[in-house]
Amino acid sequence: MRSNPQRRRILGALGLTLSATLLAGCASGGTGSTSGSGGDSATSPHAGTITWARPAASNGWEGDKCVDTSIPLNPAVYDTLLRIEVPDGDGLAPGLAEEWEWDDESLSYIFTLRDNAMFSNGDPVTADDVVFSVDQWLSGEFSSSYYATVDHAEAVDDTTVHIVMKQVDTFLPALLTWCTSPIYPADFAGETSEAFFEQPIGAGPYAVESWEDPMGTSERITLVPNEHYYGWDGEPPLDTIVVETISDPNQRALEFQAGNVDILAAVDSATATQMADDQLLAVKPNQIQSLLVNQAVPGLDNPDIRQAISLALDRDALADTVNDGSIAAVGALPVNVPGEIAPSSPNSYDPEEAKALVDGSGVSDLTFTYLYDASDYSADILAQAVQQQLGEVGITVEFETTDGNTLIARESSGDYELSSAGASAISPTIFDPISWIAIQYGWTGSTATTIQDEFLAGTSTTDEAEQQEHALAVQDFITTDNGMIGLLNTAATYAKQTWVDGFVPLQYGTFYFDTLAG
Amino acid sequence: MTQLKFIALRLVQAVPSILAVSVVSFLMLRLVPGDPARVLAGPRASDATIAQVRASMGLDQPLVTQYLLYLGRAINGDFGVNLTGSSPVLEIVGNGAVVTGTLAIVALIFTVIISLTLALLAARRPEGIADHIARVYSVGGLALPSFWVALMLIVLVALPTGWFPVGGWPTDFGARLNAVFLPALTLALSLSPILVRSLRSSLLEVFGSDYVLSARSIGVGKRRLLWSYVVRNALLPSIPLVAVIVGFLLGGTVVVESAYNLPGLGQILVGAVSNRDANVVQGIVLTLGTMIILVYLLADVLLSLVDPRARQS
Repeated sequence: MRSNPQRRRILGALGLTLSATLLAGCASGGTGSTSGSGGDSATSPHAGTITWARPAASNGWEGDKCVDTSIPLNPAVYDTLLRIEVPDGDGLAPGLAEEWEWDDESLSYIFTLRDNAMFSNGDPVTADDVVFSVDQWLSGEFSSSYYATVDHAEAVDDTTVHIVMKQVDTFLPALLTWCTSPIYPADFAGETSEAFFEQPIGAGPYAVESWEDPMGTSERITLVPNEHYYGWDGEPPLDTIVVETISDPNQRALEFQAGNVDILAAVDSATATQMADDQLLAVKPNQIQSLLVNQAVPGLDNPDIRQAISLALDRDALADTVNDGSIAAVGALPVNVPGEIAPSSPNSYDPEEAKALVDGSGVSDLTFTYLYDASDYSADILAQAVQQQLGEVGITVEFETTDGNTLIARESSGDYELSSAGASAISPTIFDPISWIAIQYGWTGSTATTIQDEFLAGTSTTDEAEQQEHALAVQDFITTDNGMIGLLNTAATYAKQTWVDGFVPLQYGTFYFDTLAG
Repeated sequence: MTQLKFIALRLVQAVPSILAVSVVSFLMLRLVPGDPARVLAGPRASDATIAQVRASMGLDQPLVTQYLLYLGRAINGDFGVNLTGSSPVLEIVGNGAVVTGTLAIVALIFTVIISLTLALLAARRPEGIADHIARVYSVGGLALPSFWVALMLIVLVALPTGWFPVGGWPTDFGARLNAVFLPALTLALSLSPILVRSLRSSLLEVFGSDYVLSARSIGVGKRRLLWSYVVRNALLPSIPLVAVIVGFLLGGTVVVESAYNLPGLGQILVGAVSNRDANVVQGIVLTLGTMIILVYLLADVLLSLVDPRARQS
């Protein structure tokens, strides 16, 4: 090969330039302030419009099918009888119902509707609309089981409606804040249900102007103000809200940095490092992350091994490792929910006791597989920390990763040994997460019906002290049985541009749109 | 064998391949863990609710019955609707195919331009500086993952200049071409290294061939010599390779589509697999499978046209 010093110099210079460019590219990411992020002033480049980007599309506008991504979206269009108190989420607040009370004699909740509430088509919201809506909830294929204790609803006059119960159920008011409980116009305002849910009419602050790629990977929803909304104090603060689906987290972050997106949901700790401090907004920790323990697996069927696993976990260290505003779990239920209560014996860290339990258990094979969702950044870090901590007491953890849907499918069919699970409240009562955990606990191979029984007992009494006793019984059962070992309470993180005002996300995975401005 | 017989034979051979694709895609999605009924009903749904949803979706029937029902509908052009029932599969596939098709065509053009330019420069003076650059490019281009190249192009080009969108698929045609520029370049930067190596070798071989020497000796002009004698003949061995690249472009754009938030077939497919949306997965897999088989068929036909020996083999 010919050797030419000049050529080598040129090639060297090219190589250096390329390397420098690539390194510069790698380095440009996180910023300590908003400068350079496309949002270096408090003035929106698209005043009057807020764009909200999130990882997955909605599940449509049917209350019956409202899960996951529709939970925070649907309140933009539909109002509910009751709302969650803002900003602390400490209780219930009036929605379409100004007042409500429980009547023990008739086993009914009595609601008094606002007289100025109107749907986006200009029709007033009346008791007949509520009766029609309740009938829809009760006949839904997906969500009717939530309303099993509701007998029927009846209109007393235009603004008074009774929801008659089959039995006492103090959970119903919280359930009325869920997106499965929207108020529709009676008879879908003369439309077929199919046509109605393509262009829904609600009494919420916004109405659907366009809906591109419905529920698809690039869903884009454009909302415009409902000019008849009762909550406006003068002109609506925004002309448009755009809800965009961007599945790739890097792409979401880049669109945010370019100033094209104003609000980001589901910001993981890796993405958060690319945001300025004044752009990040963490809600109160509310989602309990737990270790699901399959009691049908040899070794894990031994209560001493399950207790050893709980004692071997240094939850404060786990919270530091995950480092996203998480706090150590004292029990098995989430915190920052009204009615929360610590277990009689809170979770503790005692590796020596854990080691003694392992040694005395007589279990020879102490290798277990830990199943988790690899796309969940925090779950990945948590899994490694759990592996290391359990390893210190002689329990070997091997990993098996999967996607979110497969994870739930395998957990629910008992096809796992150890697994990650999460539960949070979507309304302000501790019985909300208990209802979910009751289902998850059935996946651990436990045949005990304690959680379901305590849920039913706790929601069948109006005595708050009794309700607390039943919540405590759930905590104590789980922290003793250790089929589900609480690790952390994690907090959802949002990012917002500095020009966005009135964005108050709640710990329940939702927020209300009528205060949004920018 | 006549040309027509050759094409007819290849078309007949394609039918079992497409059937096999449909069976495999149908079975794979149903054999992996994950329940579309649970996806629809949400994590809080009770077992009774999920069983009810499963029955209403026909998922409680035997696999063979489900497949035969699906095949019967598909033969009649009915690919069903997606999991949520909001859109017909044909519409979803059609929309995604427009995005992926546009991306693939622009990427292919970029790939050919980059590859041909670099290969020509390299082959004209072996061991020259252009040849060295082409070699570094071939190795480096293969080593760089496309998601990283995409990120770099966004961070170094789209964000500072504002000339290109960071991502997304606009409604306006002109804006779409602009939006597809960086994704297509990303793909071209990943694919052209393969073609550069192949083209360079072919060009070197043709440059040294007797007929090129003869043409040169009788005074054929430089431009005519290059395009009519050299490039035309050097491209022949690359036709099957281009077919492979087109196949990759149709089915393998998911990473780039995700990085640039393009609603193409790849991104739709990943979402559908994740949600266990069987109808959409089958619709896309069948479409992609059929398109790839057709592209290979087209490549075979092209090759047989320019080189009749291919028909005999």
